[in-house]
Amino acid sequence: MKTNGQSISDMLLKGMSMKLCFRMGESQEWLPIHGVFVKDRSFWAHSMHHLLEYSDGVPLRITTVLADTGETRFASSIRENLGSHKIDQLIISLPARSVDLILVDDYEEIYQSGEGDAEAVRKAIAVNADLKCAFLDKDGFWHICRTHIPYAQSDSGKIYFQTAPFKFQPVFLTEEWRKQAAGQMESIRTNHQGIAVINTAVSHAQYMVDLDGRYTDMTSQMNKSWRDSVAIRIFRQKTRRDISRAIY
Amino acid sequence: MDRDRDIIDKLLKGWSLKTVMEPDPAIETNGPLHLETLALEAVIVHGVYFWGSTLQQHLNISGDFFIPENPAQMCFQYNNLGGKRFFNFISESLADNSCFQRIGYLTRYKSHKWMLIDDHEEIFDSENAPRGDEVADSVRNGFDLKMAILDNRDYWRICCVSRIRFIREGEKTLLESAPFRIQPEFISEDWICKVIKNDKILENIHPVTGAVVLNPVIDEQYVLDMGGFYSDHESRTEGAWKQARRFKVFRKKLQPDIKKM
Repeated sequence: MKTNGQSISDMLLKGMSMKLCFRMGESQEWLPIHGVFVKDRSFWAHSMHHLLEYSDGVPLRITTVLADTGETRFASSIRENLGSHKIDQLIISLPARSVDLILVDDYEEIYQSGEGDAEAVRKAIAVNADLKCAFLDKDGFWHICRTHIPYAQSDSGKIYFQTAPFKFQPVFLTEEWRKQAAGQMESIRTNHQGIAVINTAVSHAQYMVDLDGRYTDMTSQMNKSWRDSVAIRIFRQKTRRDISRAIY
Repeated sequence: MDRDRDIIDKLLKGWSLKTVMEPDPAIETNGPLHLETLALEAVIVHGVYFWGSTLQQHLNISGDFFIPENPAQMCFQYNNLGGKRFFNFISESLADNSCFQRIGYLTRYKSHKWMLIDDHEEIFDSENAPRGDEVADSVRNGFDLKMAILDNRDYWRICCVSRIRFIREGEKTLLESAPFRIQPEFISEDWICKVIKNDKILENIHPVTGAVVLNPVIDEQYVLDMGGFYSDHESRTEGAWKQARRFKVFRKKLQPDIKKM
């Protein structure tokens, strides 16, 4: 991978999209990533909320997680049985060269808090461009998500984004887990043939982002309160110039 | 009808379907006047009719942008039946996973427009000879794909591709669509006949709150075997494959200077 000295975190924060290519023998499985947390050089990448697989005729909603703490890289799978709504989780120690990370330079930054032009965002909403939103919280985590519903208010001129939802495991973001992750993976490799069942809390990640510098997450939404962000960036997909639009 | 035929023609050429909406501010729960948009990434076409559904089951929010006391996962479907008069949505309670469905008039919106975007190009059509292995090449170069499958009842099922599998054994390429929720009743011939032959079928719907409907809801997802077979909810639960009458694959038109790292 040509990184030109940039870390994966740097590239994600420039708006690049990530895809995963899992290698299983000579077979491959490609999966897009839709929700990412970044802190320093660590990142946690999540697939879309509810990819389906079937087990004994019952559909399972699957979220695939790939985390890189800098020291170690591991995967996790959150599996919700749509019959019983019971959630199972697996943690997987990744053998070397079993997964490739593909970073695609397909988004450009159109807004950055402090020096951004909200008009560029308003124009992008009006033409229904595909957008991505990144915001930095006070704990140093960047949250990078596809936007799902943009809201451009007429009278106030305010712009809000509702991001596309995904599921995540909060424990993986804790400092304690990051410190012990490498040891845990070694133990899973040695004692559990590389895969183990885990039982941790699973949360929804869906944000409302106010372009004026605030956001809500699940906790603050329940409390009906906004949080201040440290920074916000908006990215627009770099589509070809020959794209036309028709309105009916 | 010409408008609808034009839209369908574009959908079958890979154009993306989105909405541009201004919820009516006179309805309190809609909040102040604003523009909002939705990507309808799962599309079904049958004759002159089409249905577009959101993929994401986003959590509901109120006009104040906060989650209400009973959070639920929502998905929306818009269609052009009966002169494009109504839409429907499915919400699933986070507390007990119970599903709730409503059908409502599009008059909830001050304006509601379709936007068609020519953002995909066709790279495979089962009726034409393949041009090399453009599907695999596109995947390996990081392009997003979309697929359209024609079934034996003349329904086109168009959806963005989520997972792609290249299986060495048997040299198979499987394109797996993103999943979405749908009420099969609303795309049935039976329902189409009811709506187009009986204008009064929607008469009792409340203009603001709509009406509760009690239809079965399924989690739909298509898997296309590039050898000409596909599976859907019905066949996957039976572990069977169906023969596609025709299928196409599109890739997103990204800038030529895109860099793959």
